[in-house]
Amino acid sequence: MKRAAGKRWILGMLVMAMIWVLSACGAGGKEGAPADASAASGSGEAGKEPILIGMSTEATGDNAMNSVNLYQGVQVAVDQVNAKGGIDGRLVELVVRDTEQNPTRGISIIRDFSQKEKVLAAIGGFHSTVMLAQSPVIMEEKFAFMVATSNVPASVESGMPWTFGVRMNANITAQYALKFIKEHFNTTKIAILHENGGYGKGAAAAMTKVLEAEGLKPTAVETFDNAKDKDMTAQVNRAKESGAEVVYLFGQGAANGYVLQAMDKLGWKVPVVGENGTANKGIQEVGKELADGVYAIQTANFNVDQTREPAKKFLDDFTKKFGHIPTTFASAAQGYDGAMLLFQAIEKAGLTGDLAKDREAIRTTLETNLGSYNGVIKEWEQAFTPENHDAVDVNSYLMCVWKDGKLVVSDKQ
Amino acid sequence: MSLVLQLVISGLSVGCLYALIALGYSLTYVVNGTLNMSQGQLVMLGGVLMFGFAELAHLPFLVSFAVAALLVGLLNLGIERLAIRKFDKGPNSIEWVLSTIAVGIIIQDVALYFNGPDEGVTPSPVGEGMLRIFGAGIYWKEFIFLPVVGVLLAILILFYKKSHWGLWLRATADNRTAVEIMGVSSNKIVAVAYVLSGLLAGIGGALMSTNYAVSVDIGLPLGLKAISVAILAGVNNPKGIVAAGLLLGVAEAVIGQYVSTAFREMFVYGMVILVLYWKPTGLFNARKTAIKV
Repeated sequence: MKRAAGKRWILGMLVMAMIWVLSACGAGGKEGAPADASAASGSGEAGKEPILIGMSTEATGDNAMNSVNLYQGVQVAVDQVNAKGGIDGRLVELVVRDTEQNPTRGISIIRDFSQKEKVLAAIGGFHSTVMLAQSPVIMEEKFAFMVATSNVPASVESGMPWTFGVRMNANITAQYALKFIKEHFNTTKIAILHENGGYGKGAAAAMTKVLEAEGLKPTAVETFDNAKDKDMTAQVNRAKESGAEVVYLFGQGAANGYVLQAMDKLGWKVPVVGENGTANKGIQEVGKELADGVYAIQTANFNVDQTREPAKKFLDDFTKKFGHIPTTFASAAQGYDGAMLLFQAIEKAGLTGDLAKDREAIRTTLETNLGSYNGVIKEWEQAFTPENHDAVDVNSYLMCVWKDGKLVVSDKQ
Repeated sequence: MSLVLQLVISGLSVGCLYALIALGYSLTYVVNGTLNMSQGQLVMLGGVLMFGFAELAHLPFLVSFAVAALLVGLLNLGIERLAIRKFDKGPNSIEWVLSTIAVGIIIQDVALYFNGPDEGVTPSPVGEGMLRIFGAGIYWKEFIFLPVVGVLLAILILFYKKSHWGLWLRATADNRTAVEIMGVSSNKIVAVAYVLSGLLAGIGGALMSTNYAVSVDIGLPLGLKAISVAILAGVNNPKGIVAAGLLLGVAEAVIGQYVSTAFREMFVYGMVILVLYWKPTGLFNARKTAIKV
């Protein structure tokens, strides 16, 4: 009898301990990832309502370590604007949500932003599959949304009046990449190796399109699953057999490293050109020295001295806040510039207090009356027009390359 | 020829991983009919701990390896006590499915909280060199998987055959009531099986981290692959599981090359279903419950 009671007591203790651990994690999650962004720096006028901006991010999942760069870039922008007293004396506050890389959750986050949190505008759009699902819902909910990484053209193009891109649109990237490949490697025999989500598919379709415009075709198009596939021998060998002279690589992180390993095993040495996926640390972790010489199309590079004033200031503030430089350059720069463009639009539009009117005013200001903005990526005269919602054009790119374990600006541009 | 060889050896190294994880399922299934659905997350934990100890805390490789594996083994002892024992109420109970899935989610979230979402590869003590066999290449750090899995399999079989714990394990698998009547605590036996299964998961994860990037979310896909390997082979046959794991790894590479890379999962799992039509208890399974060693 006594023993049984003792056992029950121990079990009770264990359950309590578990509940404690769980609740600690729950609370920790809130601190660690989102929600602390509002970091009000105090110079805004007391009593005034903060300006709420939605932040849709991926804090969990295999893209989280790259996605966090976008979020951090936005945080730096918020800190800077709040340090100056906010917009019209109102501090900016982020409403941060994690999509968990789940499109369904991404959609409910947009609804939540619009209907429950009543944000003025929002920013995010790292994960392409999620962004694709969110875009039509944003159109229904009618508030401006800055897509700051996702490359899929359709999330901003194809009649989407409410989404604006400060991102590397796959179509424009493909034009830039093809020009680069022709100029420096003197070939159009390109094999596309891509992950099977929105990111890779968007890039593959775009490259195929620009090749077709010149009456050409990719020599091979091979896919892999970013989370599951570890052995890429088959994909790489098919690309090799197709006679390709350049690999256009669109996976994320480690998966790209496995592709390099398979190329190494098959003794196949051709230039590899990618974008954000080949810029982040996963390719280096897995591929080690194989990553050297791999190209990554970016819009910024923080491993080198910054020549432009806003970029210097951004990098300083970023390093001060997070203790290191960004790990995915383009996403951090685009997150920052996207947020700043949004803040500029809010300031210019002038808020009336009527949510629907203000949202509409922000959108029209972005399209027609934004004026010049000097950002991390470049200086814009007017970043958007009613016909063009993509701020990053073919002249905004910066070709980077891995050298001795570091991503540096390429000599070939 | 060299291409076929290349596909086979590339497939073998991935297959080793599947086999190692699947062996962990087998150990627990045979003694009390439960599968630890968080096995994949335990493998992840082994890998993340290994990376943490070796790369971040700069402990020697073997120390990190042993500590990572032991910690995961011990954790599985706790899982058995909290998420299995209460819920395993005989052959018809399925509550443990839910409880172990829940444990898997908890492990992943706790790991994410402490580790963050980073991907990491632990440098292998055998270096970055490549072994060439008739023109086909395999990194030494992958090649090493084969002997390690071979040795672990041999130890497991010796354990089943020679040690009294192994005998008790097999006896529990055969007839739990009889074991209890003989005065052996079957709860203890189950706990031992869980510790061993955890050890295998920890070793699998730590080994994996020397060639593949480990991050907190690699667990579930690996766990699912391995569970299909275990079922394909027949859960009670360790040798069969290793064979099936290697077979699956090679099949993936070959199907990727000669059929389609986009649909290779579909083909692989289609094959698994066909095999189960043909041999419902798995490819290498002789009888329903006893361990085949």
